[in-house]
Amino acid sequence: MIFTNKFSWSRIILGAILFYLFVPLAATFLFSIAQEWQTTILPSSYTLSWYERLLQDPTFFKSLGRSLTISLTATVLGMVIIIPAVLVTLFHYPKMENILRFFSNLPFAFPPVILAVGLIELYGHKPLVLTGTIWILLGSYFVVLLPYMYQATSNSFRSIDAISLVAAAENLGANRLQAFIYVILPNILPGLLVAFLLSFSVLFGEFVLANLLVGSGYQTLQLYLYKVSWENGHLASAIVVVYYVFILLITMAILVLQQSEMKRKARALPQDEGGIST
Amino acid sequence: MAGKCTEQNAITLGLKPRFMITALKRGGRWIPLFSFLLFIMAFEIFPFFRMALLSLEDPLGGISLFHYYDLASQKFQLIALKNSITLSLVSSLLGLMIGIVGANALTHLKESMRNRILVLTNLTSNFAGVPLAFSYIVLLGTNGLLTLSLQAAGIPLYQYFTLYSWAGLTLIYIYFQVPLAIMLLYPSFLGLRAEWKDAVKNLGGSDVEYWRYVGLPAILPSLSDTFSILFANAMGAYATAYALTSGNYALAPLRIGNLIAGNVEINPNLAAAISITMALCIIGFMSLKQVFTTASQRRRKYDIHQ
Repeated sequence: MIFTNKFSWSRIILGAILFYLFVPLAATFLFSIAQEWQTTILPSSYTLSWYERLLQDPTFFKSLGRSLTISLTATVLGMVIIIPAVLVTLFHYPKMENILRFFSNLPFAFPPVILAVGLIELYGHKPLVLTGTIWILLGSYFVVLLPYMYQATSNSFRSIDAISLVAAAENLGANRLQAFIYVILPNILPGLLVAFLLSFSVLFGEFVLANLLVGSGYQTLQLYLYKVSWENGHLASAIVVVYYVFILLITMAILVLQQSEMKRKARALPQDEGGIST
Repeated sequence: MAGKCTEQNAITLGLKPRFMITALKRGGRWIPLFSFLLFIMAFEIFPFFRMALLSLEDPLGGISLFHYYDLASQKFQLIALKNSITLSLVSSLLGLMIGIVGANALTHLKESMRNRILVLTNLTSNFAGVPLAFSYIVLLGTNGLLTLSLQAAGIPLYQYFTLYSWAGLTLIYIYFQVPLAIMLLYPSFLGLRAEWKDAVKNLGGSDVEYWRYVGLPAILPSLSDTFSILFANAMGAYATAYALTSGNYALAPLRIGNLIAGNVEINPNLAAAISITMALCIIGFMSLKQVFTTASQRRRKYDIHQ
């Protein structure tokens, strides 16, 4: 009795929280399909013409393309640099680990807006002018995704006990590289994919650095949305909705990956125990 | 003498291929670390030191605290800092409270439903910055959906509340803190075992006593961790407030943005001084939490030893 009571209370509380969280989204969606909406509470007529207009807007696709390009490039760059660094420290320089962790957590204390102050000063003057170009964005996005990527990578290496796995592979005659490619990589791939998607979605929504360091020099989707929101509310709503469908897809992908990984582990566990008992 | 030399040469020659392999291996180990450090240096450490130096540059040359005095004498900048700190504290506290209620409720649900709700929470945690500010304008702006509905119901909301004010900002900041709080708190609430509650009950304890002596101490580290993350998150938030007030509200991040990339008042030195003050606030807050957590851990250890 107490249990069912609590169960229904929990449902009510969470229902209220979810309602609170989804009301702004719902309002935006409504606004994006509203044709005539001046004084009435709900729109008097509906239309898809804002989406149609968005699809015919070359600036929208250009800024979407820019956002995709910079987020993808920066994420891939981050992975290519951070993953080997974490791996090498784990195997060869365990004492360096604290230093790596310190620098990876530093962005928590220094938010992007603070980072921008030094970056503009360093790269906004001759001889090396990087502000206003994609290069400064690429470099500063490396710092933005560093905490996420470092955490995810070092967690996945830890959770599979990479050192023992490599030692086992080496005992069986593999060299380090083979051990990494055939043993470690398949095991950490789902974790890395999650890190990839998470970093990508963080960068895809980034506004501060794009606005302060580059501005109109490389108009990303967020900058375009900001501009449009002053000009045409309906069109801006349509952009927000498209953006959220995109983020929803990424979130679903992350979840599917995590759940399949959990299932895989749950499957693997009883087999392991069987192996020990025989 | 000469013989010795050739002997040594022979040894080094003989060792050369192996030496090269080890050098290659060392290189293989060093290159990843080196490139990592290169990026960190160029985009994290140097900018940070450049900013620290910027805040200490004296206009007449040399190093002084001139810009900090300047900051302390400008009321507008001080208000911005104060606003940022109070806004972050209030929104973190309320976000944490809603997060506690939500995370606790989550643990009472079936797993399948819990996972579904976590997806939705995760999704809304991406809801921040420009899109969020815009959605709130659609909802609660002067011609917003809710504003108009309330007006039709006879409640002139705009007389008591505008979105472009402290109250409006607090509302939006709480909004983006809630999903984050739930996601950060939920694992530790899941860690509270049902047996503990039963044990307290069997020993004659009440619900309040369970939370006072068992539940709360167990989740306390996670609560203070989450609170400090929420605080840092709110302190650094720029896009939401910028999009809502087009950068004109007195908040430290907006002031920094205007001072380094604005149209009217460019003053990187002052921006740097504000940045350092803000970073010190965040770090101070985090270390306060650290002291608090270690103290409670030490006490617990002491209790166990007794």
